[in-house]
Amino acid sequence: MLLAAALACLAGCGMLLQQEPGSLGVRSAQLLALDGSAQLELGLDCRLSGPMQDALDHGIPVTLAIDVRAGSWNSAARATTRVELRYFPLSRRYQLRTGTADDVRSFATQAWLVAALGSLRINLPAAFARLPADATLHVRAAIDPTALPGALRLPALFEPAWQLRSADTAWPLATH
Amino acid sequence: MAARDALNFLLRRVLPALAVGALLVASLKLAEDAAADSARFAAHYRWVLGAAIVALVMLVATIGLRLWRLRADVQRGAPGARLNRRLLRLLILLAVPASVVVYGFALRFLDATIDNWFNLRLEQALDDALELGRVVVDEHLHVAEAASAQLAQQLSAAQPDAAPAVLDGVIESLGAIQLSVLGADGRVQASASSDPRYLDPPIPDGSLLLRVQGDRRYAAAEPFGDALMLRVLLPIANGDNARATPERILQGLFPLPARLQPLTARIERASFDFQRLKFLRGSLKLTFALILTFVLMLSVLVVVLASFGVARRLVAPVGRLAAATRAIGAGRYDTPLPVPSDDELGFLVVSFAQMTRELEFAGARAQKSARETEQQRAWLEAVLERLSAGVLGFDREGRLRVANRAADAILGVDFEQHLGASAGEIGKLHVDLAAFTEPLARHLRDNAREWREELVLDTAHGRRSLMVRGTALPEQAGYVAVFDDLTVLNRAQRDAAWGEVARRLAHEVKNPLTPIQLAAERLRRRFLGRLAPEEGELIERATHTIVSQVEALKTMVNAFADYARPPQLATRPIALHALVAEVLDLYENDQRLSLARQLADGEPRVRVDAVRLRQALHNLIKNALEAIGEANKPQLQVATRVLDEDGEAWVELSVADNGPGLPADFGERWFEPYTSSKARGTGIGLAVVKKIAEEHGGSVRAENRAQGGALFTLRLPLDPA
Repeated sequence: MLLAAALACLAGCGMLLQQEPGSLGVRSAQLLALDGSAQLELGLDCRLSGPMQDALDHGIPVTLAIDVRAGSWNSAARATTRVELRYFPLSRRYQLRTGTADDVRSFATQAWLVAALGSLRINLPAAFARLPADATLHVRAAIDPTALPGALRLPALFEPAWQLRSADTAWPLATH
Repeated sequence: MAARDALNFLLRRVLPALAVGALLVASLKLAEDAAADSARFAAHYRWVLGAAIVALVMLVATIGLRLWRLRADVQRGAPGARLNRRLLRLLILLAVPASVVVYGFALRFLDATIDNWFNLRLEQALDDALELGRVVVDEHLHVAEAASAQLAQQLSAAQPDAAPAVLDGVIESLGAIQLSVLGADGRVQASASSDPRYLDPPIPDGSLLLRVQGDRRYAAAEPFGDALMLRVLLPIANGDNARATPERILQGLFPLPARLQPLTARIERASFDFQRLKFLRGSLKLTFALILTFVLMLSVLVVVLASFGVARRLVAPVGRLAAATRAIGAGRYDTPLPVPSDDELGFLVVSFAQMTRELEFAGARAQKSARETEQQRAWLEAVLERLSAGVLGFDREGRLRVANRAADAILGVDFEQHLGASAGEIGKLHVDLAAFTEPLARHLRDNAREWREELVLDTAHGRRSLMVRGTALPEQAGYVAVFDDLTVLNRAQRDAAWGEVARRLAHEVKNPLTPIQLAAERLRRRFLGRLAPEEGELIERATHTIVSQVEALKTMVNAFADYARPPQLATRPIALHALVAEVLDLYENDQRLSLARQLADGEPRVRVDAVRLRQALHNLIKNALEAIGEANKPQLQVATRVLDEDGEAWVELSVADNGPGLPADFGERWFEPYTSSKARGTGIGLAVVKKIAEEHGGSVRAENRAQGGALFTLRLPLDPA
């Protein structure tokens, strides 16, 4: 039995390595300061892995955590926003929810949904509106494993298909 | 010390158990979390998993270390190590298969349970319900699209600035929740709302606008917040040129009937939950399998680790008992024993301790007895070695076991080489001892209790007289034979007797000799001139004979007196060769004999009475000349020799002659007074030589020469100064 378990484990590891992982990158980031409030225009290049696409079509929301900070990691200007991708079967619509419940966009296809990640508007705390002009904006995005269903959390730690994380990108601050 | 022990106990016992317990609880909570789709511990998955892997690695390392130690203990034969290994195997064999079987059944049960969640009929029903909902929604979409189309025609006919009024006028009748007119660029030109929550119209994105321009219609149910809305987008034709590019777009939002909203929502949720669960089936199985595997490994490793502790705890007293047994076997009785418990092992420890004490006492007694035996043996050996009597000890089979030095000396045999041999076997090897060994073997063979006899041995060193006494040892332990050499004793007794005879002879005989001689001379003087010549001649011969015989008697009596006289030596160191030369010079000019000297190199010095030694040498020469007699011309050879014997330095002075040699029965008796082979000898000469030799700590011996004649040798100790 132990031998069978070991062989199954090896086979499982081999299958995991064959999975095509998704990709996530920050294409553009621009901070807009308007009347004391700040908004980030963010463009993400995202490609979901096969298991992620299947999960999305089966009603499992995929949540991306976008971490924005300016200056060092312990600075006050820091915010994390979650972008939720979801599918509704009755209406056959894909929905993109950014931050609050009000900012909702729906799409007829998954491709349009993913493409919509290239033009996000994210509201940031007021601290970002007071940043000096020479500050650098750091943006990174990653899938939020805590938002996954419980049954997926543990496999998501090991499966490459569920590893979706962008590099930590730095952008010069150009407020308007 | 107590605080240190408590800390040690906390670190080695309590903390690992708590950590393992906490990890097990955390694993169970993770399993519960996964099954219930809860997110309470979602952020701690990595930490729990990392801690679990660290715990597993630590457990594996700890077990590996203990296995290595156990292997080392087994290889070096540590007490209890093999028993510990056997018990460990037994505990693991008892625990691990059961855990693995439970693990297998749990996996199978989980697999079957999760598969049972998915019923094909239920799935079909849910799919049908979803499709039914879609049909209903589509029917309402058709109604909304038709109403919106009429409104678009109405707006097309109206002026653009009248659009808000048109919208306000029809919104209630159309049942819309919001109506708006959008420009080609998507900007809102007019809007009307029947619900204050939807005052701001949702702006269609570029893709939607393109679709409207392409398809000239868009109607779809879209989720807005938690509600499902029907959204219709239609172009508003510009007057008669309806096919031209629309400048405006009508957007209408229509709610589903209030009764349908919760129904469609529940249908969508139920269908979606089922689909989601179906998708997560593999992950759920994998998650449970991973958690179960982790729990199994943790449990098995903890069981193995606990087995080490249990086996060690059970075996430790036995191991200490084994070590104590080994130490006691080596004679170390002070080895500490394990503290006795109140079980059978404790009884064993107490019994072992009692046995150890008894063994210790017995060992001490045995050692004391051995010491006493050794002391007795040493004492007996010392006594035996210093006894002048010979002692031979035999075992009950008659085999020689003990012989002292005196036995070797008396019999001239190295009995050390004959230990284990019987008296008969010794007799076969030493034929000249047959007179001693044969009666001894007979007594041993006859199991004689006690015997006593005087034996005479003819050995190469002369006839020896032995007094042998034998007895059987108690409890048939063997026999012991004690014998004394009576040869010297007998000789001394004879010498003493001869001395007494000589003294009495000198006293009783010498006194009347002088009156006899005087009387004979007076007779001669008185009657020699008065008697006739014949008678006078008779008187002359008779008195002459009397006088001469009296002289002879006097000489003999003087000789006996000398022999009987107590030694009054005036010893001093002298040069032997010088003394010998003085004596020999007296005979040198005698033409009747031939004298040869063979003196050793150097000048040996002896501490002697020079007068007595000269007398001894004179006696030896005189004895030789008398032995040669008139037949041959005497040829004497006087020699000296220096030698070491028995650790002492000696010098030998020998006189050899060319006479007839020693008589056949020559022996020690010939050195006694009045023993002579010569007709005219007094028999006192050799006795005096022997006495002088013994007075100076030496000896005299006689032997025949190979070339004929006799050789007399006088041995004296060299002066150590």
